[in-house]
Amino acid sequence: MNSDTKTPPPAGPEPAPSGARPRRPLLRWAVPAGVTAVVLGAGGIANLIPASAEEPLPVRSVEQLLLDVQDSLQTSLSGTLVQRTDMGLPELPQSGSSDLASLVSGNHTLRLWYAGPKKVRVALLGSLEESDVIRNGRDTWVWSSRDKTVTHTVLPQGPLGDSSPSPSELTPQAAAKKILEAVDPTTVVSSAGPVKIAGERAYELVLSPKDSVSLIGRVRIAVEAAHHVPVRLQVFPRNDSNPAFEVAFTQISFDRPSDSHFRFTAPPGAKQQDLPSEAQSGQGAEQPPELIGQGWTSVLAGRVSGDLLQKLLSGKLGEMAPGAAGSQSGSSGSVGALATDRVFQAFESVSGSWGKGRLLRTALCSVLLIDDGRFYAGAVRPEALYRAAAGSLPSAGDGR
Amino acid sequence: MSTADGATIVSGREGTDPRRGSARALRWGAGTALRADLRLFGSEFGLHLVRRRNWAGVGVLLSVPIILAVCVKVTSDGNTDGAGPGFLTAVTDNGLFVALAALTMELPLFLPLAMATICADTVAGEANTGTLRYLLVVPVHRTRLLIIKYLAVLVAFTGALLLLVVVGWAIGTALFGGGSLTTLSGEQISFWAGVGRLLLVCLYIDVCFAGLAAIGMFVSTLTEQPLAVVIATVAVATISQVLDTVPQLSSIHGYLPTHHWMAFADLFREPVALGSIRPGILSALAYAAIFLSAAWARFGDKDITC
Repeated sequence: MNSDTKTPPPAGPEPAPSGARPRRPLLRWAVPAGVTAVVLGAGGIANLIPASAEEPLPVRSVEQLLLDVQDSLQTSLSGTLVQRTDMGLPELPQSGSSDLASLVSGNHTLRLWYAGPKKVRVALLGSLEESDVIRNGRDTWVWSSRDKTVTHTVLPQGPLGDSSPSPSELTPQAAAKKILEAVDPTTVVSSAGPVKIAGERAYELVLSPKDSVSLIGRVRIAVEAAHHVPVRLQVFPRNDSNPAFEVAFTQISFDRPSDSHFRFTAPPGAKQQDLPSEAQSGQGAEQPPELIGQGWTSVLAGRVSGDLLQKLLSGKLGEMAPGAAGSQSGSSGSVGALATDRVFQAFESVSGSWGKGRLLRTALCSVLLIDDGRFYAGAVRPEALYRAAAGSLPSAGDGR
Repeated sequence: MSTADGATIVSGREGTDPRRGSARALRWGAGTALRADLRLFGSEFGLHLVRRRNWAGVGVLLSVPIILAVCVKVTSDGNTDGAGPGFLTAVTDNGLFVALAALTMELPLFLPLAMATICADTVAGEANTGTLRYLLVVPVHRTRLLIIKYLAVLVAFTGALLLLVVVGWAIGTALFGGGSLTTLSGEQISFWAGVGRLLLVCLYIDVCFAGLAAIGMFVSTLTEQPLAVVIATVAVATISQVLDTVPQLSSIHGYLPTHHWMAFADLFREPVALGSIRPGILSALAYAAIFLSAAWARFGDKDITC
């Protein structure tokens, strides 16, 4: 606009048409160029601010940070999280989905309200849809806006109700706690940072497994400086500088979220399903998978039911895709089937003294599926799975 | 600054005591300039209103919610089972969702097409029919003319958008009823809260399209062929949406002009999620600033030969 004033005002009472004005094309185009520079600069400055120097954080030892992470489950907070998974699996055509199963790949935005382990709400935001998992005391609700379904579970009273899985498993705090349970003599722990996450300054813990059988190179946990809550968790494969899994806050508030976030009633018109609590349903189920070994290199071993195995081995896994299995027809089902088939194609055929089977390698975990229905999975190299399958792994499995 | 322009011209005309004259002229000039601007805006906006092709376009826009509502009413027995685009499943619960489902369907192509059509008329269309040179004889600075044209485009688009939402809401309420509605988060909000959110959605989409309108205006100053403007503007919107679906380009997705459009659905979460709305507004304003200044640079200096 400035060059407006530079063009001389028209001489007469009637402004002359354009032919009379002096032409300075370059000067005029400097304005949009300047606007572009300012806009990009404003974006750039916004990104630079976190990098600017501030007074250093008070020193906090690695042990203190480890304790902070373990104590952080009592801290109330709310915020927005971004979760990225890049396991090296084929890209699934679902990135805008709010399907809870879609969390295994791609980028996802989650909203979290947290007031202790028994009052948790996690919302997975999809494009034009949303899935919510709400735990309030003993009640657990799962809401899916796509098919308008509500699943309600009442957890049994007592210690089991406290220890059973809840949506808080999805939070960085819980994830960090799980990782730290694996901290033992097999881990090198150090600290790094400080970093800035969601506008908050944070210390960083770095955990690296010593055992080279583990596929995990290192795990970085950012611990917020004032409230000592994990605000970012990154898992790096061995010899890779890009995280294969990352969950981080993009916005966080440490005020206690109001109770209204944890109250849920099924909206009218929704299909509600009441599941029996896990104590009762657990009896009829097959033998649950067991954990072999300890720490970073532990392997999950279990058995696949005959029907599923047949489909897996005949390559018709698509029929088992969640979308196709239900009554749904049309595009969403076939997309799900396509996605599952693409994952299945990533399996390779392997054999050994333990028999014949199929192996899935990803950046962070390996899965071995043997033709007789046994399966082994873990964040380990395939050799460790073969050893477990052959039964030669030092059997420390306490079979919890 | 534009009032100062007017004042210069007017004080030149008065020519007596420069100080008092210019002070009076400034008052007089500001009032006249505003009236002249309003008149020009009225004529620009009126031009959009009298074009029969624009009303045909509005008819196409309005047909979508009508067809959608009638089809859902006739074919389904209240059971859409997760098929179809977002919000379609909720249509049978509350008529308000007809408007939202129609917006979702029209956002990728029809609304950009509507915006491109009216942008094409502003400069390229007038140059093509030979009326632009007469317009430039009017004693109004080209910068103001461009801004007035831009505002007229935005107001015309807002009108079409509101008409679309009102028709969708009306036919939806007639066929499926109103009342309180269920948000994406599974929580209930009251009917009027829903109407308020719907208006916020319109406002947000309007801001998003202000960015596309600036791109359209810029293209409009580059050519004398309105068809080229329509094609180029729709192509920008479409290519941007195609690039947005390529996962390998995820690092540039945030900069694409259409990337945040679908975030309007975040206004129907409980509580409202601003995580994508805010960058959406900033991105649209950035596009508007860049391309409007580029349009100004081009238009202010352009030779109008026809």
